[in-house]
Amino acid sequence: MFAELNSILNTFPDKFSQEEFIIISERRCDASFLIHHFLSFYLRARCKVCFLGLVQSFSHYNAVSQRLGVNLVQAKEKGQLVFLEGLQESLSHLVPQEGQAGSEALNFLGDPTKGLQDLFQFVRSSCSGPSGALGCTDRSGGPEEWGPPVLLVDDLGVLLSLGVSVGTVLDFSHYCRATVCSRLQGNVVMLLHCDEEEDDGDDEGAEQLLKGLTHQCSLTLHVQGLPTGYCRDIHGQMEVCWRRQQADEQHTLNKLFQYKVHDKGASFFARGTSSAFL
Amino acid sequence: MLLEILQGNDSGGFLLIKGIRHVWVHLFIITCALLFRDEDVHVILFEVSEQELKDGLKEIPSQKLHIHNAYEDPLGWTNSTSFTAQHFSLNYLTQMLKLNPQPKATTLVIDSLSWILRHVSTTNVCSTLHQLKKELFWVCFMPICIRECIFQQEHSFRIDEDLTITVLNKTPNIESVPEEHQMDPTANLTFNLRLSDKEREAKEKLLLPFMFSKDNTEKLLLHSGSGSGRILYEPDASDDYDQEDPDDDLDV
Repeated sequence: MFAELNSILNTFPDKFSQEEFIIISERRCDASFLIHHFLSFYLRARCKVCFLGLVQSFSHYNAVSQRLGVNLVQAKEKGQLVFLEGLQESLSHLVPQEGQAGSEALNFLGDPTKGLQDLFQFVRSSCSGPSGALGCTDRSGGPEEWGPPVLLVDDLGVLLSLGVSVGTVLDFSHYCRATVCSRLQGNVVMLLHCDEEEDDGDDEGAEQLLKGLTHQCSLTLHVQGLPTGYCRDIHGQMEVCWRRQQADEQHTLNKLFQYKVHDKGASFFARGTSSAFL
Repeated sequence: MLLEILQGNDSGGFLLIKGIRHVWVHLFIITCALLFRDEDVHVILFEVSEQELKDGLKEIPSQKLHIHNAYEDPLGWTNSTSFTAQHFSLNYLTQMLKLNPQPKATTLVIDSLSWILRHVSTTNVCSTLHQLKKELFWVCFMPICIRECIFQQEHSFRIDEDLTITVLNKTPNIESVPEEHQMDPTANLTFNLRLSDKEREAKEKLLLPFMFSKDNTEKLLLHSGSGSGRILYEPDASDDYDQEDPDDDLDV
């Protein structure tokens, strides 16, 4: 959890806005540090977290989260975290073995045109399921109650590269928003990797998906590397775009920051005010 | 056209609003305006939840507004009984809109057409809209522009806090750029830079030594004297150019 990012977004573990749909887009850089931030943030805020980790293994996320002060293994045991390890589960689909049926959530691997309905059903049952694990109790002896559900996806671009069409992914994100944000008053955070060199034509691709998602979301974080190239002290820039949904505040607000990722966190600063130069 | 819609003077038609997503307050406004036209309004919601719409419309004459919720389950994944994208067909819509005994006084608002176009073929959508256009007046909201409009009109309008709409002039407020008076550089000098008419004449008549005039041209070009055009070339020692030894430093 990055304290500076919390103050930029005006969210804190004990006071954060609900029904938010946050999109993180990364271009020419690695914005997974933001996913780690949101994961540790919502676990600290005692929310029920459903994490679709399609890019890295569980142990990777656990190792990074431990540096941020959160134990994913413990959270999983207590029932606070539901983790879908895409890499491991996909093996069961791609190399089927007897007695080892893969998770139904990844049924689209066998037929990408089938749609992401099974994945959505997995998300729905994880987010609206019983709040505590069996045998896990809080101090008063009852099952532990968690806060509003949160869905984290890392990352949507993987679905595109697995053959799922842009429209199908947009349907999936719409259903996640309708269920998790509107019905369960939770939050959704999705990461999308956009490649500038991609030239698939005007109809498909991450760019079109990003455009569609931008219309659905309430907050966008556009992260990209510096246009001038690599810099040791500044790892990239992040543009924060709010799209306020309240009827009385219809406006978008854009802010631009540069950031540097450290061992146990990240610092954010206005352009040109990096500590290396001041 | 917007003025006619608000005043209720039109005879029906199809209005397409293109806009970016967060300006869906227009959806509220248009719905309000249409309610003031004393018509039945049917709203099909794909991109906005029913609660958000109701929060925006504070006073709804509920008997005139019919909301069809397609936000929660637009594709039938959760088997709820709401409106789905597949319901967008001529038969179903005609039946749905027959709730009003006077079918001509009905308006249909769709947010948004992009959703339908992703799941129903474009030709079906166009033919359905065309068939129903004859009987209804439509408003569709399409946040992502993927089609070009055949006929466009630009309107500027202002929405007040009590949700009344005022249509401003078509052209935006462009201030005419005032003509800048050219500064006269010869205005405040201690010496005179101006020419009198006689001086100007003399200046224009002046023949510069190297300018071609008729006399000069004839002298040089037409009277080429005998032998004066021939070129006599006598190479000297430094003009002896050997291709194989241009610097003349080889001991050949």
